[in-house]
Amino acid sequence: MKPLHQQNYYEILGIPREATPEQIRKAFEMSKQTFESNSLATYSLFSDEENREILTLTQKAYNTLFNLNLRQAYDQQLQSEEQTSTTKRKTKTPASPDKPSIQSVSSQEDDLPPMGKNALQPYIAGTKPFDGSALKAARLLAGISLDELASQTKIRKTYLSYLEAESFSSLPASVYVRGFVKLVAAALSLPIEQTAQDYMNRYASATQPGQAPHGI
Amino acid sequence: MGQLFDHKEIFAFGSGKGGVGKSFLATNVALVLGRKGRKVLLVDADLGGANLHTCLGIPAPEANLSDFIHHNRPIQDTIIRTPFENVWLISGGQDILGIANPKHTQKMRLLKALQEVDVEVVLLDLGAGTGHNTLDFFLVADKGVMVVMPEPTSVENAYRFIKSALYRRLIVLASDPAVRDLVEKASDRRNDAGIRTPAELVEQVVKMDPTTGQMLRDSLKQFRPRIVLNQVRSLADIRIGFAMQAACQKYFGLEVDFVGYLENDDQVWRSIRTRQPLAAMGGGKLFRSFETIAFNLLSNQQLKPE
Repeated sequence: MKPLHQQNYYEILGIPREATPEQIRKAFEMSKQTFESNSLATYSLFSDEENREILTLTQKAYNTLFNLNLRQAYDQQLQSEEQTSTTKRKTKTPASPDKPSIQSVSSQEDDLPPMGKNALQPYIAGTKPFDGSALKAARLLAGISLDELASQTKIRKTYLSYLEAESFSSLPASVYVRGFVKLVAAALSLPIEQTAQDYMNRYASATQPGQAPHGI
Repeated sequence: MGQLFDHKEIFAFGSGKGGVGKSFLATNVALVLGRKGRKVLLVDADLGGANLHTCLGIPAPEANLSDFIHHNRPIQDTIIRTPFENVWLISGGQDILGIANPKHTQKMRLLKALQEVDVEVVLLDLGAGTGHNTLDFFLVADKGVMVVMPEPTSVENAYRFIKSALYRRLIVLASDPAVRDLVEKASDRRNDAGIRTPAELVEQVVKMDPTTGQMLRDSLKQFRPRIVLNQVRSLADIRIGFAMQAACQKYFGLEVDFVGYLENDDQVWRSIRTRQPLAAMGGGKLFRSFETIAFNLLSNQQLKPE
């Protein structure tokens, strides 16, 4: 048994690792019904906010597992995490097979628009909200690689790249995202509160319930 | 009753709330098992509110559980034959005082005696609610079955029951006073330790004392309550069973098996009114539901969605 935030996507949906797409879809549908606020089975255990958090996680789990490519990458990542945690938590090397899972995102790293020193000015002045590209710009300006930022902030590299790419559906629940953004902002000497606020506004408007799942 | 079987299973039937059909279910599962050739002993452990004999359509027997608990009569002498094949009964105590609160040693003596009775399955029909007696019996049983109706009060109380049983199990296990303290604190949802769920509690304990934490974690893994839904009226009602399963997994970090449901049916109240157990007649939809439940309990299986 694990607290929710430590559960992997399979555990969140309550399905076996070898689940078929059909099973995944059914589990997702069921989970949606179950954690709708005010459902008979949940109202006495979870607050509306907790229900929403679970639903967000469920949606993410579904988005990843129902997409064959994403699922493959996720499985690999999971496998490598399990291996490292069974051998030793801290011996994880940068060359771990984490990589494939962020390929789709990191490929964007190459085609970055050229950036001058003033690239961050509009954000800091408040004329543009701090978004994923602001985080990326700040990191590149600081001359820090994702790996370095990961080891500084102790945030997994995949998540960092998702933050920058604003792949909201691949990120954990909003409370964690807010925490991540603050850590990143601190590491890159950005105004912490403002960055977090701007970023979370974007996150919230993109992940509003009812909106089509992002990133499929 | 002949030689001992090598494996005996004890099923306990509990519920957070009265009147949801525990005794009704226990009786009919017993009859189904009996018809399949299993030797079954029904024990009315609803100390203080015993009426399993009525569900079986027989008068209150002379011999009963209080003879064993308070008067040290051998367990064999309290067992009576029922009109149904392979089904025996230990009736609940009729005396009001005393029996409702047997001491721990008395409960243990009962469980030990039950182990020695020559049947394959023992079904304990527990009182409603979350009293220590009920929880203790529920926890020592091989399989604890919760009867739930698809309505708010029953579902709420079912969760309360699971939670109480779970914390009782942890408190009994935790010898370290500090851990025990934390468990007690956590059982109040508005605790100041910031622990919201049993899963979080165990994480905390692991930090305090890894050995105890691991022990609690293992113990929770073995705790696998079963759910039976009674009086379902629609497909949506049935889904509540699966939904409760998911909710328990998320909230308690517990695996719960949804082993079956009983449809709402006028046959049920007719059978209760006439004191004729339903399964005695065999056949019919409800009979098949009892079969499913009995089968799932014996074989550690559960219903699958759709």
